[in-house]
Parts: sequence; C-alpha cells; structure tokens
Amino acid sequence: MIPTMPQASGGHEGPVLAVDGLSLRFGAVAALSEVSFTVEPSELFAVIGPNGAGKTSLFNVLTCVYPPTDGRLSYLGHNLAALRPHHLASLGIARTFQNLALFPGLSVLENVLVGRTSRMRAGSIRAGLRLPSARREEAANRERAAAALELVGLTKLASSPVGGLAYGVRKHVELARAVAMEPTLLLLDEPVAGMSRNERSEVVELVRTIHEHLRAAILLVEHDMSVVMSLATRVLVLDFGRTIALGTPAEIQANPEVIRAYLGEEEPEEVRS
Amino acid sequence: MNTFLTLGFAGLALGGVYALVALGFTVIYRSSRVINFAQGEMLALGALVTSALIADDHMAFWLAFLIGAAATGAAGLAFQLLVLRHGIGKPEFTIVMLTLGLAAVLNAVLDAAFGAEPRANGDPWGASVLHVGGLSLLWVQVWTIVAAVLLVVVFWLFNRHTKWGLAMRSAAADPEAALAVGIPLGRVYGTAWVMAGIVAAVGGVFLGAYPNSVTPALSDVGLLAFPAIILGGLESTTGAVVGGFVIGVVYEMSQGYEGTNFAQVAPFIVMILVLLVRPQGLFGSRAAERL
Amino acid sequence: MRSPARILAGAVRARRPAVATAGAVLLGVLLPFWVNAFWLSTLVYVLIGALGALGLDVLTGRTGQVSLGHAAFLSIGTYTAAVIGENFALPAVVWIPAAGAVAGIVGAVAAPLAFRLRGLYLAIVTIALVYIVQDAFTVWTTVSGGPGGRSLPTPSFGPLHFAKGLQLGGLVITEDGLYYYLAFLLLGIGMWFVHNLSRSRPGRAMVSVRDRELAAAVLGVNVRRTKTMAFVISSVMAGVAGAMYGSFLGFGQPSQFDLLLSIQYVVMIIVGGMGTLWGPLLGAVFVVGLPNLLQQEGGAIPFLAGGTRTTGIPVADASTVVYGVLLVVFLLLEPRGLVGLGQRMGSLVRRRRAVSPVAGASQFTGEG
Repeated sequence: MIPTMPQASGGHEGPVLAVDGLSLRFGAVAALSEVSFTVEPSELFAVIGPNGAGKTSLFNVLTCVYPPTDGRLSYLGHNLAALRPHHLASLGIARTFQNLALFPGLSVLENVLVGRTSRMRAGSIRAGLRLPSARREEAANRERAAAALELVGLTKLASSPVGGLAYGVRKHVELARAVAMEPTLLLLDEPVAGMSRNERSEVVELVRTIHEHLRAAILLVEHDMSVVMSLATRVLVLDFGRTIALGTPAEIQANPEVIRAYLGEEEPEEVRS
Repeated sequence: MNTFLTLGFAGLALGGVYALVALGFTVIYRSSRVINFAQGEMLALGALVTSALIADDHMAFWLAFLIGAAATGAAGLAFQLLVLRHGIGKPEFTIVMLTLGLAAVLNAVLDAAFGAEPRANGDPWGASVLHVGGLSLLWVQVWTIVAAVLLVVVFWLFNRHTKWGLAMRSAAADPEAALAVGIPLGRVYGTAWVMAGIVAAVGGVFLGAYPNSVTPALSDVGLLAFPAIILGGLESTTGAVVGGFVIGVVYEMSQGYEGTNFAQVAPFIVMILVLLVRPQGLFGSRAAERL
Repeated sequence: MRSPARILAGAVRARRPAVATAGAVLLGVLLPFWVNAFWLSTLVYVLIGALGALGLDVLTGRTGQVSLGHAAFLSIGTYTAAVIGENFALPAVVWIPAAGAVAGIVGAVAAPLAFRLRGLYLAIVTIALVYIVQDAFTVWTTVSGGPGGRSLPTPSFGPLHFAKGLQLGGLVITEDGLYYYLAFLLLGIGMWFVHNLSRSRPGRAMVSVRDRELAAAVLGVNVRRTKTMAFVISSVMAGVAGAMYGSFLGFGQPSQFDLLLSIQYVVMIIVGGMGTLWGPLLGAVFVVGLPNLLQQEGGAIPFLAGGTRTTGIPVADASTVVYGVLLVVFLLLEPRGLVGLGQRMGSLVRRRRAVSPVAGASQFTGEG
C-alpha cells in the first residue's frame, strides 16, 4: 500500500534513492541502459549529459511518468517503479517542472500553499464552515508557506497573481512550493533552462540555500556543466542512455570520456567556469 | 414478418435521417474539431424555410428546397465567420458554449419566426406508397434512404479523393501546420459549415416528411443522434453514419414493438457507459497528455 | 516609513470587502419594502437562481468541470421537496435540506463521470444526463405527476406559515416577502460557505485541478476527491434552489428541466464572472431579470410581445436571443464576466488617480 508522509529522512538507513540496472526502451530504441547510482541523504546529486543523453528519460522514470523496462528503483526502501505520479507527494518526493506548472488562478502564496496539501487535513465541510480546527490548520500552514517564500526572497509578492510575473520570479515561486512540501527527496528538472546569466546564478544560489535549509536529498538534472560543478556533491554523466562517469565534480571534470562526450557541444571555457 | 420488414424499412429511413445528421456533425468536426451542437436546429431551419416557402409563397418544392438549403448553409457560414472564428485558440469549454449558445438562439429564433404550429412539408411524395412483395412502403422513405446513401458516398469520395477533402483533414489534425503549408483555414472551415448546413437541410426535409410534420421541435433529432455519433466515433465518418442507421432502426423497432419511453433514453445510457470505459469513443484514438 | 495617513487609508481599504458586504446585506434586507409585488417576485427568482448558479460556479467556474447537467440536479431538488413536503407532509425544515441532500448524493454518484472525461465529452455526457433524468421523471408519475406536473409545498416553520405572511408590529411581510428573506438567507449561507472555501485548502485544490490537473496530482492534491466534492457542493445547492423554485412557483413539471435551463445557468456564471463570489448573483440578475423586464416594459420595444402587446416575438424567445449574444460577447471579450468588467473599470479609475507612474509598481513593493 502507499505509505504516508515519512518523517524527514528519519527511520530509514541507507540511501534515499537506489537505482540499479535501470533500462528504458521504446521499441528498439534504448533511452536508458543499465544505469545505476544511489543518492544519499542530504546529498546534492546531479545528472548531466549532452542533448539526447537520456536525462529527460531518467527524470521521467524517477517521477513515475514511465515505468522502467528493466532494473530496480527504490526510494527509502519502497519500489518506486510500481507507482504513478500522484503517489509522489505523500511519499515526500517533490519535483519541479520545466514549464513551471504554476496555477494562474492562485496568488503566489496560494500556489506555495498547494504544496502543503498533503500535509493538511481540512476538507470542504470543515473549511467551508470555518471550523476552528480548519482555521488553526490554515494559519499554521500559511506560516510555513510564508517561511518558504521568505527563503526564496519573495515575501513582498505573496498576494500577487502569478500571471504577470517574470519567468525567473515564477521559478522562485515554484522552488518555494517545493520547499514548502518539506520533501525528503527533491527532483529538479533543468532548473536554469532558458535563463539569462544573471537569472542562472540567482537560481544556483537559491538551490544552494534550499539545500542547506532543507537538508533533503536533491537530485538535479541539468545540461549546464558550470551549474552542476558549483552545486553538486556527486555527479552522474550520461551519454546515449549509458553511464559514462560517476563521481565528484573534480573527478568528472578530469575524466577524458566526459570531455569527449561534450566535445563539440560546449566550449572548454564553460567547463572551467 | 410483414410488421418486422415494414418497421425495419421505416427504421432504415429514420436511420437515413440520423445518418445525415451524423454526416453534418462529422463534416464540421473532421475539419475543425468543433462539435456543432446546433446541427439539429439547422435541420429544423432548413425544413421550416422550405415548407414556409411552399405554403406561403406557393413555390415549387425543388426551388423552395434550394433556397432552404442555401439559407441553412448561409446561416452556418455566418456563424463561423462572425462568431466561431474569434474563438480559435480559446479553451474547449468556450467553443462548446458557443455552439450550444447558437443552438439556444436558433431555437428561439425559429420559434419566434415560425411558431410551434405543425406545418406540411410540401414534398412531392406525400403519403404515396410503393407496393413491393406484399409490403407497402412509403416513397418518402425510399428517397430518404437513397438520398442518405448518396450523400454519404459523395462525401466519402470527396474526403478521400479531392484536395479539398485532404485540406479539411489536415486542418483538423494540425491547424498550425496546415496554415504553414498554405491551407486557407478560414475557407476550409467556412466550406465545412456550408456543407453541414446543406446536409442539414436535406435531413430536415426528409425528417419533416410524412408521417411527421415540420415544427421547430425537429431540432431534437440533433441531440438524439449523439449516441450514434459518439459510439460510431467522431473521427470516423463511416462509424458515425453506420451508427446513425443502427440508431434509426433501433428506435423504430422499439417504438413499434414496445412503444415505451425507454427506447429514447437507452442509447444515451449506453453512450455514457461506453465513454466511461473508453473515453475516446469506440473508434477514436487517445489524446496525449502533456505534463 | 509609512505615514499615519497611509496606514489609515490602508486599513480602510483592507476593510473594504467587509464594508461592501455589510452594505449589500443591508440593501438586501430593505429592498422588499421598496419594490412592487411584481419586482419582489422577480427578486425571489433572482436569489433562487443565484443560489443555483453559485453551485454551478463551484463545479465549472472554480473546479473547471464542464457541466450542462445542472437542470437534472435542480429537478431532483424540486421533486424531493415535493415528495417529502406533500406526500409525506413533513415541514420545510425537513424538505429543504432533504432536497439538497438527495441532489448531493446523486451528484456524488455522477462525479466519476468527470474522472476520465474532460471538456467536450464531459459536456456531452452531462447533456445526456439531463435527458435521462428528465425522461425518468416524466415516466415516474407518482413522484412527478407526469408531463402535466404536480404541486409543491409552501414552507412553514412552526407558527410561521408562508402562505399567511407575517405581521411584526406595524410591518407587514407578504408571502413573497417571506420567500425573499428565506432565499436571501440561503444564498447568504451559500456565499459565506463558498467564500470560506476559496481561502482554504479544498478551494485551492479545486482551482489547481481546474488550471493544471496533472501538476496538482503530482503536488499531492487528491483530484478525484476534489472533483467529487465539487459535484456534491454544486448539486446540494442546485437541490435547495430547485426546492425553493418549485415551492415558490407552486408547481413543477418535467418539461421545465431541459437543456435550455442548464444553458441558462451556464450563461449566468459566464456573464456574471466564473470563479468569482458575486458573479453568480450578477449573472442571475441578468438572466432571470431580463425576461421579466421585457415582460413589464416590453411594450416600448417594437415587435415584442411584452407590456400590453399580446402579439409579436414571445418574451422568452427574445430573452434567449439576448442571452445568446451576451454569452458570445462575454466568452470572447471578457471571460471574467461582469465582475471582470467591474475590476477593469476599477483599475482604470485607480490608474487615473495615480500620482506618478511609479505608483503602479506599488503592487510589487507592498506599499499603499
């Protein structure tokens, strides 16, 4: 049965996420082949690779969008491969979306509050009748949501509608929402995609702040090498669906396979920054 | 046995009308993914204009029908140009409400303009009967079936073997791509609505023929035909048309043998049950969902 | 630093909704004494329609579930009230909630339709629902009285019999007046409930399902439960509205609860403004008020069978054409309805009053 919200990383020994021999095939095309890695608690783990390397496929498998063709996928000991996306929140897994997936009909604070849904109990009757228990719960959760907004520096925009905000600001809202979920595992889907250099460094700082604050495991899928190098504790490099390197940023940077995979894709300077 | 055959034939004739209704729906849906909830009202419009011209202006049937069909086609075109065109890109709910709004408005206009009094259709066949093999069949029914089959075949050929037919299918599949290759979307949509109007007028005249009479209530056939179209599949003209004939036969048979009200409602219940199991209809394909 | 004046202005502005609401309530309480019998009766229908529209707005406006089935739930409320109030001779304090409850249960049963079906197909299935329910009631003559219809009970609460009116000192409240206050109370409760919902977890869940269902699910929103609650709330309100409508009219027949009725309710929420608190009431004023207005004053409009004229275009038909046009106009030009229109005008006025261009940026700094 689907377990409910586990306490933050407590009660389970070993890695938060354990991937073993993961393969994903679409007919004759192998999007992923025999990928294996673990993500330890409080680690910031990055998955990088050139375009078409299989990062998106891996992310989709991790977020239960596709079931894997082969291999094992376990989260805190639970078999993730058998679950669907709507099970994630109650397990303590939060994810971001490349197209942000904010709700235009809600304000910034309300968007963040949606992240608290699985931690709240009030249903339509209690909320509609404004029963004291519902009011207390709402106030307490608003505080948490406000705290998440403060972490990302958006307190002043709390009651603004999300519609008119810049892309970078909306990204902050989405991250605040993920923080408000108090997840055990945070999955970030190319968080700096489509951003200017300024926006990018802001988001990098933000992810670092979130990592320090949440103490959750973070798995970050990214294309931009420099972002990954400055943030990650360990890095997995994919190419053509296969693992070509797994180690610390320093090890990865020195790895000739990795350099070869990125040759022609990026200028050597980018690796150094 | 005679009863069965007579009823069966009447069923096919009614089925022919339903098939024409289905054809009207699919012509528009296959070019623009819009369901014209006012198709039934367009049928009534065609029938009412035709019969009014015959009764009030003593016009010959064929001329009156031509004008009726033109009027209906024009009404459809007007709606597409003045209203629906501005709804492109809006959410599905908006489009649904626009054609439902048209249905409500057309209904009111027909009621105000023509009143609820039953009128004679004015068709040349009246109640004349064809005697074949011991059976008495109505000439009107014969011609309904002929007309329905003929139009279905014509549209099938049009769809498959003409450039215009291809243009329509492309427009529905991917409007942006169609625009990019130079398909005049506006004209494609407009043409679809005109064609649907003409088909509606044909259906309306046959529906209003003996033993029925012409009133705005003829429009009910539009929504009664829904189960056939949904089950047969909005995507598939053949499916929709076959569904139409089947529904017609089922209605007549159950009216003739049982005479209960349940006949009217059963197809809707079946439709709901099928959609619950296969949300895309019996012959449709699943729409992909983006995360 | 904010000056005392700005703090005070901010406080008044923050209280603005409460002040406006108090004003509206006061106006509502006094209104029956200012209008004639015809308009009082119209207002009763408006309030009842508003309650029904409020329910539909929760389902379609806030949760995004297309429904053309509202007429079916209204009829369930009407006939439940009829059976419990007349056949079982139970008092209004039983048949009014019962009408809501029975309709709510049917709503819960119908909700799974929305689990797998969206947009167009959900619209089609809810249209089918109207036909099926209408047909069922036509055939079930013991409940509905068949196509000819049946009568409905008049409320009485203990010693207060609506049919006899009420005398409070020098104040005389007619039967219609009592209906008005009851409808006013019920609508008020409904709006209070919906207002609370909108600032709470289930309300946010509804909007998230409307805006991006898949993302909502990933964030932990129970989409099925949210849709079910939306159907239940919507049909409870429809049931109560149906009971009140039938009771006030004194009569109910299956032919009243057709697709056109459902469409009228959708027009109400679109014209009023979907997903807003006052939208349903504004929409009801329009849709319910218009035919009555035409009936009374229509003599001035040529070709219309209104006022003293008995020939010409029936008022009902003319009204439908007007709704149709309004529907198109609002759908295409102002999707947030009259409320949206009001907000646009309000911000236009505010912009004119702004001292400098920077004032517009205040929404990002939280000042003013």
